[in-house]
Amino acid sequence: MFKKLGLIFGPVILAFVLVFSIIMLVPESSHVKQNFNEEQRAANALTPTVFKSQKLKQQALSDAKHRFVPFFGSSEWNRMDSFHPSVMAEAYNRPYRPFLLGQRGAQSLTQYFGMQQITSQMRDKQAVFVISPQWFIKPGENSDAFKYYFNQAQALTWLQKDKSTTADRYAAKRLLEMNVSSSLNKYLEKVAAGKKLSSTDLTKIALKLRFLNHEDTLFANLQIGNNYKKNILPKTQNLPEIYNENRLNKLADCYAKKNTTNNKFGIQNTFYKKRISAQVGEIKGSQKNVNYLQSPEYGDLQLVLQQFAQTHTNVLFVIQPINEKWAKYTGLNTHMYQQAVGKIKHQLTSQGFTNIADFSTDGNKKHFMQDTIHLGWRGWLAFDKKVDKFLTTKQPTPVYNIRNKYYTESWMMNPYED
Amino acid sequence: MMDWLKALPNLQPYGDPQYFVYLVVLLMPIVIAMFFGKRLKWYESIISLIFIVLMFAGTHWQQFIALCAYIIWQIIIVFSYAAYRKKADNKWIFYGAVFLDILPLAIVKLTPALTMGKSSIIGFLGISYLMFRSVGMLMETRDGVLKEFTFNQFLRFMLFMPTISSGPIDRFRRFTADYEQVPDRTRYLNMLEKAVYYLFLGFLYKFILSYIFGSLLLPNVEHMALARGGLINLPTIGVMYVYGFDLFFDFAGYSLFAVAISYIMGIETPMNFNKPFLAKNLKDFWNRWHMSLSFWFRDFVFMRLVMVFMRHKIFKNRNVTSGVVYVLNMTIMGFWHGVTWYYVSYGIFHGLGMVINDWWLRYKRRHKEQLPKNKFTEMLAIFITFNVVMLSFLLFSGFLDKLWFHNY
Repeated sequence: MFKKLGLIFGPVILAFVLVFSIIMLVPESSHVKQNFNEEQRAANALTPTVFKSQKLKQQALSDAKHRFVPFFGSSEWNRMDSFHPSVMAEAYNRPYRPFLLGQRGAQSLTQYFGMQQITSQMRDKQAVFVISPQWFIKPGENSDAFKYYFNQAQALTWLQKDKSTTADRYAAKRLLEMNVSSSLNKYLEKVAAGKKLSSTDLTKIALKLRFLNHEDTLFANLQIGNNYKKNILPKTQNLPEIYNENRLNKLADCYAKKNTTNNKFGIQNTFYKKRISAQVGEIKGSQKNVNYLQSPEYGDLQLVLQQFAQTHTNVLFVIQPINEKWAKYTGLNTHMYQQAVGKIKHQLTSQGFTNIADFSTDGNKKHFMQDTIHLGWRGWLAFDKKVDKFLTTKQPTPVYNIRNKYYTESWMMNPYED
Repeated sequence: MMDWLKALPNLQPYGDPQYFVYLVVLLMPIVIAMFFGKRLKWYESIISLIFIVLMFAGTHWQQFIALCAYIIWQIIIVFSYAAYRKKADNKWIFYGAVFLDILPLAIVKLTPALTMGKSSIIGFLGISYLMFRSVGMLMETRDGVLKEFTFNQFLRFMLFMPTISSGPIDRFRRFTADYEQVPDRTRYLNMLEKAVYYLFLGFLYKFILSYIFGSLLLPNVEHMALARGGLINLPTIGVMYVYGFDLFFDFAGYSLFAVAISYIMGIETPMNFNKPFLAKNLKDFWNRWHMSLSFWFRDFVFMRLVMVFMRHKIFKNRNVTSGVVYVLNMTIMGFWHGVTWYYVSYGIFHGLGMVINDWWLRYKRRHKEQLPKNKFTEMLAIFITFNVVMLSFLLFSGFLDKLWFHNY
C-alpha cells in the first residue's frame, strides 16, 4: 500500500527537490566570469529578457576592464543606423560602450524599477537618460507595457530597501496601479500606507528574491539573437576610419537622402511605408488635443531623479525633438510641447540635474529625425557629440537637492506656467 | 457591505502555479480521510466555499452576488418542478420550467449583442455550466428517472468546486452516486495515480504548450495577418492552426486539472477530451472534443428534438429529420458560445458538416465493395477532418471579424 503511495508521489517530490536544488546550487550573479562578447550582446540586445535580468546587467556594468554606461531610454535605441551611439562608440573605440536599456513603451517607472537591480553599479558613475515628451500623457505609462518589462525580482529588490519615504510610498502606489501581481500587493499596500514591513515579510521577500536571482543566473545566458554582431559591428564599416565631423555630416546627409524619398516629412521610407502610408489621411490633425503637461509621468520621473541622487550618479539628460513637419501635419500644439519641455527642465535643473542635451528645438533640422519622434542620421551625430563629451571629459560632481513637491498632484496634474 | 469581498485577493481557478499550492495544502485532509475510507463532508463544503468566494473576490465581487442570485433562482425552479412532477406531467409546465431555467443565461448571452458589447450584470464566470447541470436535472425529473434529491445534494452537485467554472459537465445521478459511495483504498489509489498524471499533463498543456501557442506565437501571426489585410492571406492560415492548437491545449489542460482535482476528492468526473485531432470524421470528432458538452447536447437537445420531429411526423425521411436536427443542434450550440456572427456560423458550419458527414457514411455503407479501406485512406480521413475542424476554429476565433471588419 505504502509502496504504491511512494510510486505515485515519490517522483513528484523528487522532481521538486531536484529542480529546487539545481536552481539554488547555481552561484548568484556576483561571482560570474566576465565575457566581453556576451556583455556586448546583452548591451545591444534590446529585449525584455535582458532588461529584466539582474545578472546580465550587473555582469556588464561591473566589468572592470570595459566601461559600460547605462543608456536609459525607450524606442529610439531600436533606430540602429550607422550613427547610432553603439556603432559610434565601437567604430571610434571610445573608452565607453552604451548598455542600452529600454524599448518601445518603456518609460520612467519601468526604468526606475529596472534600476533597482543595478544600484551598486550606478553608484558614483555616469549615465545617459533619454526623455521623450510623448511619455507625459494624462494616463501615464500603459500598464501592459509596464508589465512587459517588469519582473518580481525588481520589486522585491526595491522592497528590501524600503524606508517608507515619500518616494517609496509614491512608487508603491504606482506599482499597485500597474496591477502587476497579486502576491506583491500585500507588501505594496503596506508601503503605500506608510507602514513598515514586518520581519516575516522581509524574510519571505529575501527567500523569494534569492530563488529568483538564482533562476536568473541559470537562465540568463539562454539569449536568442545577437544584435551586436548583426546590427552594430557591420555598420562600423560604413564610417570613415578617423572621426571627422564634416565627413560624418556629409555621410549622414547622403544616407538620409537615399532613405527618405517616398514622403514629404523626411521620414525613413520603410517606416513610412509600414506604419504610416496606409492611414496617412486619418492621421492628419489627429494630435490636435494631445497634452503633455498633465501626467503622472512627472512623478515617475521624480522617482528616477531621486534614484540618481541616492546613488550619486552623474546623468546626461537628453530631450528628444519631434519631427516638425510631422507635428504640423498631425496638428500637435508645438507651444504646448515647448511648455512641457520647460516643465521637465524645471524639474531637472531646480534639483541640480543641469547636464541636459536639449534637442527639442531641432525637429526642423534636415536629416535630424529618422521618423516621427526618433533621432536618426544627423540627430544621432549631434547626440553622439554631446554624449562623448560628457562621458570622456572630466565633469564637476553634481550637487543634488531632491524635493518631494514633485510627487504632488498639484505639480503633476497642473499645467505649467513659466 | 461587500467591502470584505472586494478586499480579498482574487484567485482564478487553475490560473497560476500558486493556485495549485493552495489547493494541494487544503485538499490534504480530504486525501488522508479518503485513504481511510471516510468523506469529510463538512470540510469539503468549507473548502469549496472558500475557493468559490476567492474566485469572485476583488474586482469580480459583483459576480459573486450574481452567482448567489442565480443559485436561488435555480433552487426555486428545480425544486418546484420536482414537486410538481410528483403529482402531474403537463408538457407545457415542463417547457415553462426549462424556459425559466435558461432565461438568465439567454439574457447574459444576448446583452452584449444588444448593447454594443457591454456585459450583463447578472452574468458570472461559469453560469452556462451551472445551467447545463440544472437543465439536465429538469429533463431527468420529467423522464421520471430522477425522483428524490435533497437540498444539500443539489447544492453540492451545482457548486462542485473543481468543475464550477468551465466543466466538465457531470450528471446529477452519476455525481451523487460517486459522492455517497467512498471508493475503496485500491480504487482510490488508482484515482490518485491518475490525478497526478493528469495534473502534470495539464501543466504541460496549459502552462507550456498553450503558452507557446497562445502567448508567444499567436500575437505574432495575428499581427502579420492583420498587416497583410485582405480577405485571406498566408499568415491567416497560420493564425488558424496556432489558434486551434492553443484552444485545444488551453481547454484540455484546464479540463485535466478539473478532472484531476475531482479524482483527488473521490469523484470520477468524466473526461472532456480524447485525442480529438485523431478523429476520422466529424461525428468521431464530436465524440472526442469537449465530450461532456457534446454528450449533453446529444442527450438533451439532439435526441429530444429527433423524438419530437418523429412523433409529429414532420419529415417522412428519417435521414432528413436527423439532418435538420443536426443543423439545429449545432446552431443552438453556436448561439450558446455567444451571439456573434462568427460563433453562430461556427455552429451552422458544424451542423452542415455533420449532414455531409452523415451522407458520406451512408454512401460508404452502400458502396462497401467499391471503396478502398486501408491505412492510407484512414490517414487521409484524419487529415481532412483535422483541417475542416481547424477551419471551423478560425471562424470560432473571431479573428476573421478583426481581419475583415475591424482592421485599421
